[in-house]
Amino acid sequence: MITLDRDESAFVTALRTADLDGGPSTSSLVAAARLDGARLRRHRRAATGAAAVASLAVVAVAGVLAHRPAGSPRSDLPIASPGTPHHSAKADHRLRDPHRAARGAVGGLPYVRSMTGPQPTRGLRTSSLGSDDASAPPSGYALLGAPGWTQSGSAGDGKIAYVDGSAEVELVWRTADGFGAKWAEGTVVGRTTLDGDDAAAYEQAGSVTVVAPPRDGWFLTLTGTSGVSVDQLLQLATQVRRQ
Amino acid sequence: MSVGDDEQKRVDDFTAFVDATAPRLYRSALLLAGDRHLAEDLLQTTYARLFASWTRVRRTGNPVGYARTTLTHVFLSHRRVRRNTEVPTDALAEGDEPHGTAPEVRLDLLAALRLLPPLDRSVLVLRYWEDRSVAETAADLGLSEVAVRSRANRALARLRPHVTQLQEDCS
Repeated sequence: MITLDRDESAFVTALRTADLDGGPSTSSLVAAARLDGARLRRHRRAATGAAAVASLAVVAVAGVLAHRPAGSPRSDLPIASPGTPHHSAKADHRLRDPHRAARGAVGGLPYVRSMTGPQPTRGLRTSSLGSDDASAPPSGYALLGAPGWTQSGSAGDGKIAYVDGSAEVELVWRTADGFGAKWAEGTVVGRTTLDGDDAAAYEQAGSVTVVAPPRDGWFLTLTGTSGVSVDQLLQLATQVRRQ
Repeated sequence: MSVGDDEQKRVDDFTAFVDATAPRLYRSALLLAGDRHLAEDLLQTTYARLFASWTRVRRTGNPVGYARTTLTHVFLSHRRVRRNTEVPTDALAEGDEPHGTAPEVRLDLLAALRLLPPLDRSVLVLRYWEDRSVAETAADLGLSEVAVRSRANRALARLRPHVTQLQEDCS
């Protein structure tokens, strides 16, 4: 009976003898990382801003409740009841706090400014990466507007998966550096349009991918990942819209 | 030093890091993904995440380890999104042609690894390709050390017939 150590040894030997060379070039990886990374940072800043706004809304509601007059509905709630020792102490503290005005004197919100933090300005790019950032695709990349297909999630920063029952497709943005080389080994199995651009469908490694021409350093692919025929994929591609 | 100089220095530093780590990280991605295109996508996503936080990554003092962990997490999260659309099969996918000196070994090894659940695959790659200890693998994957050992044992046992066949084919 083979022992575990022999299993491990055999597996390590197989790893060492396997040829795993290849892969993208450093320049293409760095270019893609700069573009994707800049977009990631923008998304993180936007998410931080959204979270701050949500927190602000919660605190604002709490502040409004805390300042309801004594006769208003539900004024018997302990946390919001004016006149309770707890409330009075807090209110008095706010009144005595000399720094309150400087922090934003919204009723019941002494810490508003420090909670919101800097907000990204809509319509302006927030990355500091300069010219590369200008060629980054707009957020949202592209959408599949076919009836019955719903977005099931996103993988990585440039992919959106859609499902329709058991069928699944994947929209992917890729840097133009990989255009051509990646699909050169594939077989063209059909032609269609993708957001008005002529696009070819390639069969490769058992899956079919519609490849759109590059725009602004990026190109879009639509891959049938599960339960989609070539004809279906060609039809679906016509319903993809770049944003 | 201006902001532009800082940014250029940051990019240069990151470029040097990619240059030094990409071949090794690509091989790890290939073993995890079992597919060259997916491996490239995983690698790209990993480097994008690193670049987005490059200053902080540098401060960790171990950017290579950070990259390795990020790659594993990217792979596992990708697998969760794909929701098992990849069906394990003994048949090799057409078109995934290898290049190099031992194509049969490479194809069979990748095909055999694809038979394993993603987490088991990650355990094997970290333990036996990245040469991480049981404790380090457990920390990277958020598992207990016992779970890492049992998953590794089970995965190796499942690979046993394929690896044995590989050795016979090569000898």
